[in-house]
Amino acid sequence: MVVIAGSTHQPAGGAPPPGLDPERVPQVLRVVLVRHATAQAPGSGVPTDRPLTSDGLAQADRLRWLNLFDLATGFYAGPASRTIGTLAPGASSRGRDVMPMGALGESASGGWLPDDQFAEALARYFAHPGIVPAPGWESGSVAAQRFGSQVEALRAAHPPHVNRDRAVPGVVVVSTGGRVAIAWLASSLGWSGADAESAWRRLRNPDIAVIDLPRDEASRLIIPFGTLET
Amino acid sequence: MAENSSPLQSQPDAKGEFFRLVAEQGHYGGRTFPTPTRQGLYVCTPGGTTLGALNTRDAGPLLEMLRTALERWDHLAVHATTGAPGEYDRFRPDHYPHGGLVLRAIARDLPREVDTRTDDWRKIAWNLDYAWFTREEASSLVPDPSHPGATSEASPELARRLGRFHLRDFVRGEPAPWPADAVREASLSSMVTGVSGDRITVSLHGRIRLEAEFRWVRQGDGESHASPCSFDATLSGEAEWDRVAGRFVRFDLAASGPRAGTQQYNNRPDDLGPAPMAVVFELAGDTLRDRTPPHTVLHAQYFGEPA
Repeated sequence: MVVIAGSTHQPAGGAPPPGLDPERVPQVLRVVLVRHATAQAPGSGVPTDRPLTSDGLAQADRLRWLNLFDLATGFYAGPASRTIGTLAPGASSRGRDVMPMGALGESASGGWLPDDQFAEALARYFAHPGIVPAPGWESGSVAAQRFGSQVEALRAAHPPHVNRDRAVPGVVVVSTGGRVAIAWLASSLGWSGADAESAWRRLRNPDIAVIDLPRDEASRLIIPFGTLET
Repeated sequence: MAENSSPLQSQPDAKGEFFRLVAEQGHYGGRTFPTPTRQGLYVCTPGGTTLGALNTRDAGPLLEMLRTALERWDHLAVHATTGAPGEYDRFRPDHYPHGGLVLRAIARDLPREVDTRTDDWRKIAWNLDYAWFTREEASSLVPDPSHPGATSEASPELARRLGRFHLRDFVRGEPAPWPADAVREASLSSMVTGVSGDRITVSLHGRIRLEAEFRWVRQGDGESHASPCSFDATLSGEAEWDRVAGRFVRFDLAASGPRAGTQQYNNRPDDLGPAPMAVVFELAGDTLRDRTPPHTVLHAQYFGEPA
C-alpha cells in the first residue's frame, strides 16, 4: 500500500473563500464504464441472460472497494443480469441501487454463433459500423447512438459537484457489454475500426474505463480499459 | 511519499502517468475548475488502484480515510500488482546537490502583542520545505583563513536563492517565489567564533528585505486582485564546518521579522499584517524523505538567473 501526500494549498477549513461563480462551472459528466464481470460463456443451451459465474460474483464484490466509485451519484446498467450484478455490490455498499436501462444494454448479436462466424461479424461490426454485420445483429453506429443518447440523458440528473472551493464532474457508473462499450468509445473518440476491434479483443472481465464528457467539447478518455487492476 | 503534485499533473513520464492514474480515481478526479489541481492525500496499490483520497489538514477525516483505505487494501491486496517497477526514464533532471548544503526549512508565525487571527488551524499553522545549495555556495560561508574573528560574505547566489525562494510566507500555503526585483537587500555574513581540530564554528548574521506587489486573477470568478507583500528578515544563527569532509555538520539559521500581504495561494487574505514570522533552517538528513526537492526547485531561476 502506498501513501502519497501532494502539496495542499487549498483551504480545507475555516471561512470559505469567496468567488466561486456557478455560471463558470464547466458542465462535465464523468462516466465510469464497466465491462461486466465474468459470466457464463455463451453457447448452445446457455440462457440469453447469462448469469455471473462464481468468479464473476467475486470480481463484482471486489469492485465495490474501489475508491473510483465513491463520487458516483448513480449506478446504471444494461438490463442483463451480468451487468446489473457487476455493479450491485458497489452500489448497495454506497446505499444506492443499480438502475437497469434497456438503452445501456449490449448490442444484439442474434444468438450464439460459432467462433469463426462470430469473429467475422465482430470485425464488420467495428470496421463498418453503418451496416448490420450479421443477421440479428445491431450495427455499431446504432448501438453507439442509442447508448450515447442514454448517457447524455443522464447528464441532467448528475450535474457537477460544486462546493465552496472547487467543482468536479458529476459521476455515473455504467455497466454494459464489451461490444457496445467499445462502439460508443470509438464513436466518441474517433477510433478507427481496427483500433476498436483491437480494444475489444483486449477487454477483460471485468474491465473499467473512465471518460469525461464536457458539454459542447470533445470527449476525453481519462483511464483506458485494461489499466486498472480488476 | 511526499510529492509536488503540480508538475506531476502534466509530467510526460511514467511517474506523472502513475500520479494521474491515481489522482483521477480520487477526490479531484476530472477537476478543471477553478483550477485543475489534484492536491491531496492518496492511498493506492503499487499498481495504481486508489484506495482512499482526500484533501484535508484535519486529522479526523484523514484517519477515517486511512482506515477505509486499509480495509480496502485487505480486500484488494491479493490482486494487486507484485512485479517490480520498470525502468524509469525521468523527464526532469535530478538537481539534488550531492555534497552540498541541504536544509530543512520550517515556517511559522511568531507571537504577537495583538492577535486577531481566527482561532482555528490558521493560528497554529506551520509548514515545511527544503533548500538546496551547492558545495561551492555553502563554502562561501567559511572564512579562509579560518581563525577566530575572520569573516566571510555569502555568495550573492546563496543570498539570492535564500531570499527569493525560501523566505516566502509559506506558513499557511503555497506562495510564488519573490520576483528578482523584490530583493531590496540581501546580505548574509559569517564570522569564525571557534576552531577545534577540523571543526570551524561560525556565527551567521544578515538581513534580507523583500518587497513586491503580487497580482492574480481568481479563476473562480475572474476577479483581479493585488496585494503589496513584504518580508523584512533579520538572519541569525550558527553553523559548524568540517574541514576534512568539506561540508557543514551543523547549520542553524533563523530568519525572522515582519511580513505583510497575501498571495493567491498562501491563505493570508484575513491576515495582511504586518505581523511577525520566522523561517528557520536546519541541516536535513540524507534519508529519502529529506531528499524531497524544494517546492520551487522547478522554477527556471532557482539555480540562477540568466546572465
